[in-house]
Amino acid sequence: MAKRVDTSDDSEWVKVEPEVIEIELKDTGWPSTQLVLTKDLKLNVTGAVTGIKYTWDGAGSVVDVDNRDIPAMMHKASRTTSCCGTIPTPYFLIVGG
Amino acid sequence: MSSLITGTPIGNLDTQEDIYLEGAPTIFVQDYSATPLFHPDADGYYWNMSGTVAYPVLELGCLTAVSLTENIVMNDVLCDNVGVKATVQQRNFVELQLTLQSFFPLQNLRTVLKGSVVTETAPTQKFGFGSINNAQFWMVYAPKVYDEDYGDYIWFHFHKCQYINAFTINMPFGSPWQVTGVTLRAFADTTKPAAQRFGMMGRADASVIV
Repeated sequence: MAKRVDTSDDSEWVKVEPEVIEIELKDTGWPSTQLVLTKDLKLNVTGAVTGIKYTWDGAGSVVDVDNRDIPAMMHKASRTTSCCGTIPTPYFLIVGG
Repeated sequence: MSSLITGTPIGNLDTQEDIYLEGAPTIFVQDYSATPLFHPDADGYYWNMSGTVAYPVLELGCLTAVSLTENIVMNDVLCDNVGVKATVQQRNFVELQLTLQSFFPLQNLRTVLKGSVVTETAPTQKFGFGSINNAQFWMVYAPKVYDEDYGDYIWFHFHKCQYINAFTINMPFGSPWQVTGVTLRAFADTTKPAAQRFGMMGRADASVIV
C-alpha cells in the first residue's frame, strides 16, 4: 500500500512513499484452534468455510486453524481400517483438547 | 515301570502343551525414534508400542506368506585329530518376510516401498520413488491372539528394523495385487540389553501361566 504525503502546496500531491504493512495471513479476526496432524504425511487442506490454505509438514506438526474450519477438519478421518475395531482414526487432534 | 513301556525318561520333565498356533500375526510398525510402550517392563523387556501424534503406529494390512527367520554365522571347530567338536555361532540379524495385499493408505505403503513422504491434497495422495533413506529404522511388533475367548496371545517385538530387498508388485487378473519381497530385517540394537539385542518373543496366557 502506498501513502501519499502532502507538500506545502496543498493543491498538489508530489511525493509517494512506500509503506510496509505486516499482515498475518491467517489473522481473520476469528478465534483459532491449534490442530496437530496424526498422520505421517504432508497435508494440504483448504478451509471449508474460509478458503484458507493450511499446510501440515508431517505427523506431529501443529497449525492454527480458524475456528470456522474446525468442524469440517475434525470429520476428516481414515474410515476404512483392517484392524483394531474399524474405528475411524482422525487426521487431527486438538492441541490441549 | 511306565517309563519302560512308553520310553519316557525318568526325572524332571518339561513337556509341551497341545496348543497350536495358526495364521499370521498382525504386524505393526513404528518409527524407531519412538520408545516402546514398555521401556522396559518390570522384567526388563522392551516391547509393544504406543502411537503418538509424531510417531503413529502403522499397521500392515492384509498379509500372506509371513515367515520369520534369522541369519547366523557358523564356523565349525574342526580338530584334525578328532573332527568337529563344536560349532561357533553368532546371530547376524532376524528377518520377517511377508507379502502385503493392502495398498492403502499410501502413507503406510510408502514405508514398505521405501518411497518419499506422502503429500496429500484432497483428493490425491502422492509419493516419490527416489533415493532410499538409509537412516530410517522401524520398530516392529507382531502379536498373534491364539485364543480369542480368553485373550491369550503371543508376540514378537523387534527393536531396530529396516525394509530391505527389492519389492515386486504383482498385478494379476482376478486376484488381488500383492507386494512381494517385503522383508523387515531386525538389526542388533545396542541400546538394548544383550539378551534381547535383536528383539524378543512373549506369551500372555492367564490360564496357563499362573
